Amino acid sequence: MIKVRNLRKIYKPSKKVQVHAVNDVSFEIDHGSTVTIVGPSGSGKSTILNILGGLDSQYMGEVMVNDKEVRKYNPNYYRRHVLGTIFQQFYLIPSLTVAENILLPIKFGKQLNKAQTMERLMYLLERVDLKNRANHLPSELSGGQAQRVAIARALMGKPQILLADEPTGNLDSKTGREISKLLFDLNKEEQTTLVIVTHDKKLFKQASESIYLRDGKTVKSL
Amino acid sequence: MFKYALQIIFRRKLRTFLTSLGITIAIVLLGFIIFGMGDLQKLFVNEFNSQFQPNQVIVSRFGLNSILPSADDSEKNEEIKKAIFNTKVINEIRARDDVKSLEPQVLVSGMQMRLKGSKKVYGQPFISGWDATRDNPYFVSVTSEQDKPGKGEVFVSTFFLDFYNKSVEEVIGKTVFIESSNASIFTTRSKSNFNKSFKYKITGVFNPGQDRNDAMLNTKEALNLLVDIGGYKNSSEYLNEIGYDQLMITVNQDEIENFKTDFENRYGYKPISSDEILGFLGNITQGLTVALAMFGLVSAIVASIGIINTMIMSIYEQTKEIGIIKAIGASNFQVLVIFLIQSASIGLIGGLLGLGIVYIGMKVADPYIVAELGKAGFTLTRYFTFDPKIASVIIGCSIFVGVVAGIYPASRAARLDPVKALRYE
Repeated sequence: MIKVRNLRKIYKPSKKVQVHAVNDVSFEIDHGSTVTIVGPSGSGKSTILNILGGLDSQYMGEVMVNDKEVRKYNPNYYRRHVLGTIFQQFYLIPSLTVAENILLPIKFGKQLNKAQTMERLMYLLERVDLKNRANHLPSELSGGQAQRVAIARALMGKPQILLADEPTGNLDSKTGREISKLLFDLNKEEQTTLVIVTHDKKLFKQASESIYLRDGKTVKSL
Repeated sequence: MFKYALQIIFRRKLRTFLTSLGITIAIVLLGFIIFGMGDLQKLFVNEFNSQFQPNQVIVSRFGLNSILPSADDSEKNEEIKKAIFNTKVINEIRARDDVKSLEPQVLVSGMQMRLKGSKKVYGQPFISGWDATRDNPYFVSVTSEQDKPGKGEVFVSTFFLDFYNKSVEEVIGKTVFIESSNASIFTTRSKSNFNKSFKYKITGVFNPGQDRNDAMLNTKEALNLLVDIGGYKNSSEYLNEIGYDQLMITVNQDEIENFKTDFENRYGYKPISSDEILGFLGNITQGLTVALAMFGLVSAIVASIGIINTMIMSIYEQTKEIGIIKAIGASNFQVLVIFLIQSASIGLIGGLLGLGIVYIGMKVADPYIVAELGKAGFTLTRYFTFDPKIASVIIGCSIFVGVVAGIYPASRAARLDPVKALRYE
């Protein structure tokens, strides 16, 4: 499903300074598996996530998704149909309601008709337990609820891969547990490949595989 | 996407309103110019056509030739000795086959008028002497028991009434003095026009439309006055030396061009037809429209700078959001469209507001304008005409200004790097 070979990413903050954010990282992730990428700050986790998320195409090495180099995908198609992304800060649009936030990916790339869209929306609202909050604004939600909206939004377009950047990082431990359970349950139901960048030990214990990074290098697979 | 774009601009209602106010001001300016000037031109044309027939020409000893650009004095004119319109010449013109009628006029200038019992002096009046009767199409209306002013009598115009703030009934039968004006700069025609005063009884009031005319004597009376102030022996001497000032000639319609050429060659004056005067009036209103439209255009440019500024600020505020929507699949083009919808909406809001103000302003001002123009001699029931077609073009233009102003900020937003945008604080 995902094959990363000799991935390197060098930042040049100035002419004299070079930062090797990712330095010769290789790993493979099978379809349907749940993988966590763990490591201290500055180890290159977010850089890898940006590259996998199709947001950063300035890298060396090979990143294959479904046997196709990520850079060769149309970036809009890739972000709409291949991926779903969940962020630590939820990143909901404050002026849109819960339902509108969840529907946003569909607005940018219509892959479902109106009936299918509504059916999918209702299913996801029920699964994330926010049916009675569909018309609420993000400012009226708790952190856990906001992250559940973000999960529903990421899954709306039926992606093959779900990328989550510290999904429990901004939540208390109880809510974090609920969110991680929801994430793993939905992953199983939707048969997506789940890639989570996290510090949360509970999360990588639940994952089928973990990749540990330090200073931009793969240290070990847990 | 459309709803999302609109929600963004309505998040900052006051800022959106203030930005669109720039467009509003431009539209108010342009709206009044477009509606007002169009109507002004129509008004001129209608009023003019009601008073002058298309087969009428005017010949003036002075004035018209110098003010109408189409009637500038050519070298040919200078070679021909300018005729004096005395009785002989008038009869000669009247006898022409292509002339239907001729009304000669004399103009009394360099005088002032004073209503008996009033200290107010009506300076520099335009006093004509001609034998027009009340049914002459030149008059919009005449209130008098007589057809025309008789001996020792004068008809005054509605301009005169307005000046003294009197009604028709209040002035009829009253005495008016036509006196030499010491302050006058128009003293060229008289040999001894100091300290002269002539007494006339007002026996009628006429409305001359938009044409400036303050008082009217019959030709004989006017000639007597001119003879007296000029120190001439009699009217024959005056006419032979000075002649009539203005001729209003009705010509056979299909011979009008030939007549004009022939007249100019014979008498050295170029007759002006109503078409030429209308063209001249059209030029004035067009010139005025262009000048005023420039003001509107400048305010439209200022308004678009305001929109650009607001949109750029909006991009800074929405940088993270742009990153989010790009991360979940919005293309550069879609981001561009979202921002263009926003700027177009600002243009639309400004346009609608401006047009609303113009519409209300037109409705409120219309009765006052009609009343004021009525005092000036225009006969109309409504001045402004709100044309929905023009209104939709104005709205289209304000949206266009919004879109043009939004192009730069929108393309900047579209080019934002999603990774940097997501990190933006």
